[in-house]
Amino acid sequence: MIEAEFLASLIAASMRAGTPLLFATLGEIIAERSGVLNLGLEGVMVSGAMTGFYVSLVTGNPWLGVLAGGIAGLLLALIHAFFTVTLKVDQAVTGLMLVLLGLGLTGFLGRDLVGQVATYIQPVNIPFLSSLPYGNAIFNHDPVVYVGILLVPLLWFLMNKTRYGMELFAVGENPEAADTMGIPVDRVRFLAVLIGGFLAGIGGAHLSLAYAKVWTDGLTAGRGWICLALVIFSGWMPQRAIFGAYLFGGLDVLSFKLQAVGLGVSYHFMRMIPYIFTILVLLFSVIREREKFGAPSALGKPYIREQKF
Amino acid sequence: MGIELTSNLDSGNKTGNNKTESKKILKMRGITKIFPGVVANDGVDFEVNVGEIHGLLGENGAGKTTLMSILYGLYRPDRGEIIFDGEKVEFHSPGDAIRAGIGMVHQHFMLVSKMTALNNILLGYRTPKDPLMDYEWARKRIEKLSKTYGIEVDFDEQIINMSVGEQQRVEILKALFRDVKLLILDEPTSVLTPIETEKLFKALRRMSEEGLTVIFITHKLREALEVTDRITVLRRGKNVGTLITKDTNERDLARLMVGREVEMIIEKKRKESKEGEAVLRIEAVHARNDRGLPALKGINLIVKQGEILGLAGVSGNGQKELEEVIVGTRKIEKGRLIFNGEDITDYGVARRVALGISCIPEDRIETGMAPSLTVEENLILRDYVKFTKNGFMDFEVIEKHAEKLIDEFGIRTPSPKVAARTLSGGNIQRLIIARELSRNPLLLVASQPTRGLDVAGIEYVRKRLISFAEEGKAILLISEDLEEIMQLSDRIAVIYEGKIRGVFEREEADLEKIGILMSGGALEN
Amino acid sequence: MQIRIEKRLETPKIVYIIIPVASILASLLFVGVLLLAIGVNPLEAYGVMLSRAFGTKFGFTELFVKTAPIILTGLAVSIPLRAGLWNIGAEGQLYMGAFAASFVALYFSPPVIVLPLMVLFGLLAGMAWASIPGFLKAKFDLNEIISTLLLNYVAIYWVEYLVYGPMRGKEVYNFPYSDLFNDYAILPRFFGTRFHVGVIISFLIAIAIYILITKTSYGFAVKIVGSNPKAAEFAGISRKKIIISTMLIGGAIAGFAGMMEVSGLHLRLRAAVSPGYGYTGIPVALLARGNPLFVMVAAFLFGLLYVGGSAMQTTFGIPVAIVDVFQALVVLFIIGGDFFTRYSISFGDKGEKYEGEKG
Repeated sequence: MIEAEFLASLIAASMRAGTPLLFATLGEIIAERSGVLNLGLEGVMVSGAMTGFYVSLVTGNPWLGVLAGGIAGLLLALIHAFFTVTLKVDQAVTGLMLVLLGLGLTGFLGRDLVGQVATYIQPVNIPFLSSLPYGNAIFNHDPVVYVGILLVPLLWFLMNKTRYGMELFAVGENPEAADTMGIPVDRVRFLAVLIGGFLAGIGGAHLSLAYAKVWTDGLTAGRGWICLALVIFSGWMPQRAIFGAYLFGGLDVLSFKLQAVGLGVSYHFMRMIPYIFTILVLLFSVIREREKFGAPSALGKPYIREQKF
Repeated sequence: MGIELTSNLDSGNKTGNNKTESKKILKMRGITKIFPGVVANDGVDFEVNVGEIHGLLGENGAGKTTLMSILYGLYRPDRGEIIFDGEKVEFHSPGDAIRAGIGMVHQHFMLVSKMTALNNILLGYRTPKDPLMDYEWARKRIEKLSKTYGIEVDFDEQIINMSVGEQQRVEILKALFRDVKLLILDEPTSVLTPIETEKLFKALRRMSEEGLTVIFITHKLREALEVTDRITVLRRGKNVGTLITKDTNERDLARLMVGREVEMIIEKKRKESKEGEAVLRIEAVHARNDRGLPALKGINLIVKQGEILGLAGVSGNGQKELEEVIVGTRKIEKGRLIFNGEDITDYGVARRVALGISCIPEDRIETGMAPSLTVEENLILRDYVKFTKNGFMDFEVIEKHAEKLIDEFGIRTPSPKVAARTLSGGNIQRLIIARELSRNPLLLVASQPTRGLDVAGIEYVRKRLISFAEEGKAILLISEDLEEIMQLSDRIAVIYEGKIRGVFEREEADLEKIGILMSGGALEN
Repeated sequence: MQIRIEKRLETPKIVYIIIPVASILASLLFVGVLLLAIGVNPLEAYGVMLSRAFGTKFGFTELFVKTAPIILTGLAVSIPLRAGLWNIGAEGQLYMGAFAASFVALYFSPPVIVLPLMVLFGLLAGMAWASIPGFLKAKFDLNEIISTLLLNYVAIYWVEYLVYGPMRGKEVYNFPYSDLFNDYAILPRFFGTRFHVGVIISFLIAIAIYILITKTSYGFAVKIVGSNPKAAEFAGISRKKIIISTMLIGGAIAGFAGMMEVSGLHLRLRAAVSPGYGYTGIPVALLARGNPLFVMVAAFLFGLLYVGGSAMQTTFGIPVAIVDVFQALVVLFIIGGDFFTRYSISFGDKGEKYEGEKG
């Protein structure tokens, strides 16, 4: 019975811890599908986390915090979009600087938030379902968790069954072909990056307002990078992203859980595990995907119409 | 509006094929387009009649594609106006052109290779259930179009698995699906077998009969004469004349196109003896392509001293892989390569270079050069090790070497120290030829060596190749241009789906036989 | 009206000077606004920054002490970057170098060989750490940006684990420190300041790397791979060897930086070996466009920033994170400005202009 309870609480915690990852991964999938790599995910998430925390602290309304987190992410993504889509600057450089910018700005502006207590997002008990045996594990979460789950089929549908999805795919695969069919490549990419930033910002806000329930410098601790790996792991498909996100959410909480159980493994030692595991997962994905179509063909390449003549 | 799929079918109403005084569907006036350093179009006037097949003829670089890209909304003209279907139009993007009723099949197909033919045709199109994709409705519509024009494709196949001919048909359907009134085809035959070309021409005539107007961009005189009603010739960005096809001939067109009397034919003198030492022996070579599928399936070929061996075939049948196998950048799965009696199957690129294997690669810019490096650095790209002293680069010798080659091969560059990417396509070609020939190799693999060059450039390259072979060296000439193969080669081999389907002495070779083999057919006897 | 963007054939030389200068000024302005927002007079803050760096002997030598590791991490990023690879892992390589050198310092004898062995182990540990992403990139084409970055976390937590656990010193109370090194494991210092011999060595390494990558055939091969990997293959250069070797050289240099920091500065292993020098190496390499001579200049600028940043922190309580903001802004302004070196932009109707030129 103890094992079952442990497992149930682990699942519950994985979902909560995995939700920030899920949002950021879904957002990045959209951006990358359009051909824009946003390496600045870490910076975008951390901005969302701090802004969300701050707004919730000031207004006492965590939902305004979540929205503000999304907007903060969107603003950082706006920089990325402007540089990479409008100015056609190297995507890697801009993304890396976005990380520095996000971490720097939040470290600078968030200095007074450290140690404060904001209003956090509360779980909602889904009647009946949550009273099933161990139902609490799945049906007693905050609404953002459920929104994250619902986003998966929604995005799947948009990407696979609608003209928007086809156009997004085409822009990321062969922007020139899309352009010649009258699809506004830059507009699609710009929008995709903004949506990606908004979702990653919400992910960050969920991290500070529902999971960590605290603001510290560099709160995201590499989650943005893990999400970049998760995008590859998911093969750019939303339906796979949720497994990766929850898996890593589970890994995240496992170190605490094991600590609590008292396995005698050093906390610092355990902290290395998610990063090592991410590299292994990445390696696994790369080896497996090599035979198939993986990344969008135009990923990372700026599109400039006038350059050929 | 556009073409009426149902009603026009049996009306039999030919709108102007042979009429000279016809309604104009398109008038372009005083079109000027300047790219940095190049005036691509210089005050071009261009008119097209409703329902005709209008040839747009000119050398590479004459400004044909630029003019049509302007019409299609890809470029904005610096000056000039466009009147399409009676209205003055200004296209800001291809979307505008498509909505107005213009379709374009680009020379490099604009298809998303990981999508199916159907999705490619529907790309950007709003079906009745928009934003959902109404596949059923689309399928019916395309099937009707297929029947009307005799253009068949497999809707559910992904582009990546299609032959170039099929891909072209998808491109044409893409345009027809949008009810275009004017269809532009940019060098559509360059990737087709003679048989496929015939089919295409048939479809074009059918379109013309249905009242659709076609602009056919080409640099091949014979094709322009064969399929068009009228021909406009561009030279150096200017319209130098519009002619009625049946009143002109190859010689006049050539003179208009090049601006001088041209001897279009440069032929290699036949090698005196048919015997000769084999420089390269390719023995039952198997190799895979980038996608891991078999691309070479047991190639056997011998390239002899003093000869040009032409390899004919439609691109994508293993030519590129063969080039890479000989250069050493692609792994040989089975089989052997013997160079001058030495088994080089397992040798790396550098070792093969040192032995005397040179190559003008098919993808000049993609594999042949390092764009951000200078001209002089690119000139030693493949033998930089020879230009070192104790591990240090010998910059003095490198510069002298560059100056010599720039002079000898007429590479036009402001200095040996500018980045190679700033050179024009023709000069990049010269740079690569200079580098590959100057090392005095025994074997040259020349892939599409004249593609994209103007007549003067083509002449130059062909002469170089011929004199190189006449020095007793061996050349494997890989080309899609059958005329080129026929003119230059001592012997001709045909490749189809990774196998050599036949080898001829030049005297025995004729276009028909080669055409059949290129399309996978078999010869009698 | 229309906006036209065209590739430039030639870029006026002056643009290359204006852009970095203007970028630095713009970043100072922007950071100034941020400082104002938290109620600090930016002019005063910048004044403190400069007077600390140039006003005192300690500050001036400190400038070099902070510049040295940045030169090294700048090189650690630059070398792979010349081959088209992003080594975001200099920070982790630095930590592994620090760990290995500390291990030697604390547990090896006899004293004579300790310092040379610390250098050797520092280099090797940095190399080993960089070889992982290098190998994964060469063999499986695994994205090196993500792998190098993730390994930073692993290295930092590894050192943290050690100084909280097995390597924690006996006389450090509860701090995450190892014991102090013995004298023989410490780099010689000069002028009665923290200016240690490692600083000089760092500059020498930069010059050596400059020669390696601009004058030798190896450097030429690296440049070809960076310009066009397919052309490199065509030229008989093994892309895999270049990937792995540039990563190894970069890792070794970062590893040396770690050794230098523990042996020249901290004199022990501690959880915070570096305030993010490895990441600073990225803007440095970008600003220097991969040229080691310019790396020294750019590193100096960021060294100044670190000295000034800590001065601002002690005087005004401004978080050091402002240094990150400044770094990011400078690079963003420069790459944004770079657009103008590659493209010319004109407004209005080009047609009229053309006619004007003609007539």
